[in-house]
Amino acid sequence: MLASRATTSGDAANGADGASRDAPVRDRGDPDAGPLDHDHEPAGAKHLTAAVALVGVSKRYGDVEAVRDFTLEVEPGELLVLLGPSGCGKSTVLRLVAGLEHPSEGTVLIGGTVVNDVDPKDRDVAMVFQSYALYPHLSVRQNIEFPLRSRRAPARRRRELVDEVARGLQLERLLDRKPAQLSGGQRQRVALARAIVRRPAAFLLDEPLSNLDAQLRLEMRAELVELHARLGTTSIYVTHDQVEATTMGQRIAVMHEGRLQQVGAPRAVYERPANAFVAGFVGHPPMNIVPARIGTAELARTGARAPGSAGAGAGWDAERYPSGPSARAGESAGAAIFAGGEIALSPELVARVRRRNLDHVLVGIRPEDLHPDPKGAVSATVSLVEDVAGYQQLSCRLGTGQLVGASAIAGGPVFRTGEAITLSALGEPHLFDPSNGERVDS
Amino acid sequence: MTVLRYVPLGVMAVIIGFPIYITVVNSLLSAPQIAARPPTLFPTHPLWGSFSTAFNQAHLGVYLRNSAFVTLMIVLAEVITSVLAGYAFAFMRFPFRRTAFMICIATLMVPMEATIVPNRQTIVDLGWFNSFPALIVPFLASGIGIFLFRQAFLGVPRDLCDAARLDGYGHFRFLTRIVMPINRPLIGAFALYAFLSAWNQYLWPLIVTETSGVRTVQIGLRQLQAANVDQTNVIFAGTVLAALPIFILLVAFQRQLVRGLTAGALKG
Amino acid sequence: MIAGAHRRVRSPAVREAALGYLWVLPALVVFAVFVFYPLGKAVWLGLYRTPPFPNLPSKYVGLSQYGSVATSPPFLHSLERTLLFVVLTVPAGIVLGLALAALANQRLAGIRVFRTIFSSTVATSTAVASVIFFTLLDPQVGLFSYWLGKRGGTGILQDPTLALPAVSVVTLWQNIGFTFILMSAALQSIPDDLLEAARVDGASSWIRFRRITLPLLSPTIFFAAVVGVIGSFQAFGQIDLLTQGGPNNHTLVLIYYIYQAAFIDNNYGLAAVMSVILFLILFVLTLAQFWFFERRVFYGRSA
Repeated sequence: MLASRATTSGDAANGADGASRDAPVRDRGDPDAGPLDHDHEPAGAKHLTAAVALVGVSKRYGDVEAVRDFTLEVEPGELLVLLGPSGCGKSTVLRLVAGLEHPSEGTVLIGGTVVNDVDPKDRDVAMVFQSYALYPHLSVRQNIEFPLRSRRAPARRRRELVDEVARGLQLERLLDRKPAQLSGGQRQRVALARAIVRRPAAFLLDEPLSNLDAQLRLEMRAELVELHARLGTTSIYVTHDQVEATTMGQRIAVMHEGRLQQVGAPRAVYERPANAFVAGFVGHPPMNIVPARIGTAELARTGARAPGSAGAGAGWDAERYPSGPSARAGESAGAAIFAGGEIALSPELVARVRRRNLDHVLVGIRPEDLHPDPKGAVSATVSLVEDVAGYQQLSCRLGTGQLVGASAIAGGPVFRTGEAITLSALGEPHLFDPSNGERVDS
Repeated sequence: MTVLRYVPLGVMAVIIGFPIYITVVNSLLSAPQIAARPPTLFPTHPLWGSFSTAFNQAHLGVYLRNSAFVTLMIVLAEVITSVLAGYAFAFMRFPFRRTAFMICIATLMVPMEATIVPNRQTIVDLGWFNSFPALIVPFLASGIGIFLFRQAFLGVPRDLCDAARLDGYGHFRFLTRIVMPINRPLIGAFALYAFLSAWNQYLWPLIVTETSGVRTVQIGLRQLQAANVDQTNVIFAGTVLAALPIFILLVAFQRQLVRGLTAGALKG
Repeated sequence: MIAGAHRRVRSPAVREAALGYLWVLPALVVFAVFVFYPLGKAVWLGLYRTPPFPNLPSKYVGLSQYGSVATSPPFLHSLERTLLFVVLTVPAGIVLGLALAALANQRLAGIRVFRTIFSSTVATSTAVASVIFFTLLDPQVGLFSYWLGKRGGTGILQDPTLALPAVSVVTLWQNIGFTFILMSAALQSIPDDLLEAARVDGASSWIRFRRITLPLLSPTIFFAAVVGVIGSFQAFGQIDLLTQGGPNNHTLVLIYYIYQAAFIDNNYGLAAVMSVILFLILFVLTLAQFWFFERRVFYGRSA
């Protein structure tokens, strides 16, 4: 379990089949095993009921491994967002599902059937490309009916289907135009129409909104979610934009360097990032990740810092974490010490840290949980103040030179560049193992 | 002032245009009229008989038909083989693709003129001497065409290829339905180039043919010149007939002309 | 089962590779038979000396024939004639083409007529041009001979000093349409605002041409030069129709010498050696042209 980096968090309904989900996907015994060494997995495994599943899939281009030992199931009717920075292999995963690439190892299943050797055209999936991939010499109507033509649908049926889809996407008046005569948003709609007209088993969308301007992107985001709600078709949506991912996805799957990092509902991923990468990637502004030393909570021991509680550390929120240190006063109190300050840790966390034999950790605190506080334990200098409606977003430089984000609540004092302040954190910090980035309490 | 600017234009137009003008004029005169001095510079009573003499007695009709057949076959074959190979090099993955492409490019470095001696022997050995295959088969492929089409096809977005595959189109239908329509102007320009170079061939047809039944019009002009020393009117009419198809073609395809000519210029 | 599945996974790639070879194959076969094989054979033929009488076996002489031919006076004479032909046709063609393009680039009523006339010679093949001029230069009935005061007597094409220049003029005339079209296209691609800016700065028309137009045309000029040189090395039809290498070998350019050696004298060894030398010359020229095309035309166009 600890070896597993791809952890499904949050979604309790998925817990039924622990065997396949928690199967260690990293450090397999035999890295050179053939594609079917998943045969030994329990019968009735999750991927047979999934709409789309990848099991232990790797893709190598020469020496470059674009996708490594990738296992993921997409539920029927679900809108799953594959999120990751550019070059993380997310588009390759999509192309593997589409059949445009063939896995070097592993199995791709669509509707419970292995499709490794099935032609793209027979996989019953439709793809929307970042570039839209509209055929420039064909009219909008011809573009939309292009996939129907290859399937030899009769002309009348084609016409009806195209008209119907065009109506749904407000393209009726554009049917005779060429792609060059359309705006970006209209082209996007034509690309969608071309995918929808086939009524495929799954939609694959590869960064479909990244070529649109900001305003249009917001509109199309809503339109796509509505469209998905209306059609209920299983969709995999690839994006590098974590805001897009968290607003659109029912679940998000975070990828980094070819590996799946975490799958779960956006909220769950946000609240319990499985590792330092996910922590830094999901959320805006990004989470502050600060290297720290584990020590005894000095301030907590002397009681000088604890608001009404002997064992509490800096800024401990006893209300949100009733089982926090205050409740266990007297147990071994620990703290993460960094940049001349410290943050107290709950006994559970300390126990986790001890179990892993860690002297050092990475402390993760979201900017929205880090506030200027005259009684704060961490001193810093304000370097940049950004006024966002109602509150101030601060960039502060720690004694170590590291820049961290913080936020000042509305109505408080106004901060200026160069001002020396102290910070305190709200809630319990996220702790990550510095050797591999894994969440300490995973 | 403006009139002065026409003077150099007019002088150059006369110098360049005169040979063609006098050729047309002479083709409408009789041989004695052509030889008469001072010369007739405008045919007041045009005679059309020279054309039929050239077309029938001097076999220009046969030569033209041979040229048309040979040229069309070459253009068709070159376009097909170049488009297919250019597509394969641009869109398909296979071992030694790069090497195969370099081999095609290397043919641009080997002028036809340097290989005529062994090539003629090959044609004789194949039993094709003095036949249409001799005029056509060596030109069934074009290195320049492959190069041009590969470059152009590489510019076709990769996503279009992927989209077409998902839409259910294999390589052949993607080529004919998407890639070729998109690149129609280039295909047209290349076809024009291929037509001009095939039509104007001289050395190769000269050495692999010996009877008028298979000779092309360029070689036909050589026969015409040798056989009709006294009938200059027929010679002139013959050159007009030989140049006419190209003239019509160029007028019809003016737009492709510049690109076609420069494309062809890659190989002399 | 594992092996079977493994093979099936690869099969789309194998299918694509097979199709790829199938589509490339026709071209490769043609090239193998009619380009590479004959090239190799020409080199090989050059190693054998053709006997002076037919039906005797060819004698293997190794590379010595290459050396002896390359230094023989007839070959050197032919090479000298070829180079002279290049010098007579290429620079004049470019200057003339450029001048015509500049003339035709003026905004004047009826300029299209002049453009059509200037580009009209592209419709003529080498054979058409040669036959026209051969007849016009005929010492008995030729109009040009009459105007040049050469009626009767020795014709221009029969005059050792005038034959090669005459052939060059015909070549020049036939190629002028192409050069003109090329130069016109380049000239029209020069942005107007560049020239207008210079005009505002008070530059005379000559300065504008010299400092702006010419530098911008230099790639095209280079291109036309290399293409012209290659074309002149390959010029055969006009020699065959106008002079047949005469008079007294004064127009015996390399390509015509090869033709004579191979198909009139049946001296395949000699023809092969000269073919290889011609190949080497054109190879270098084509490389230069290719280098140019890679750099300028395609990347410039697609960018």
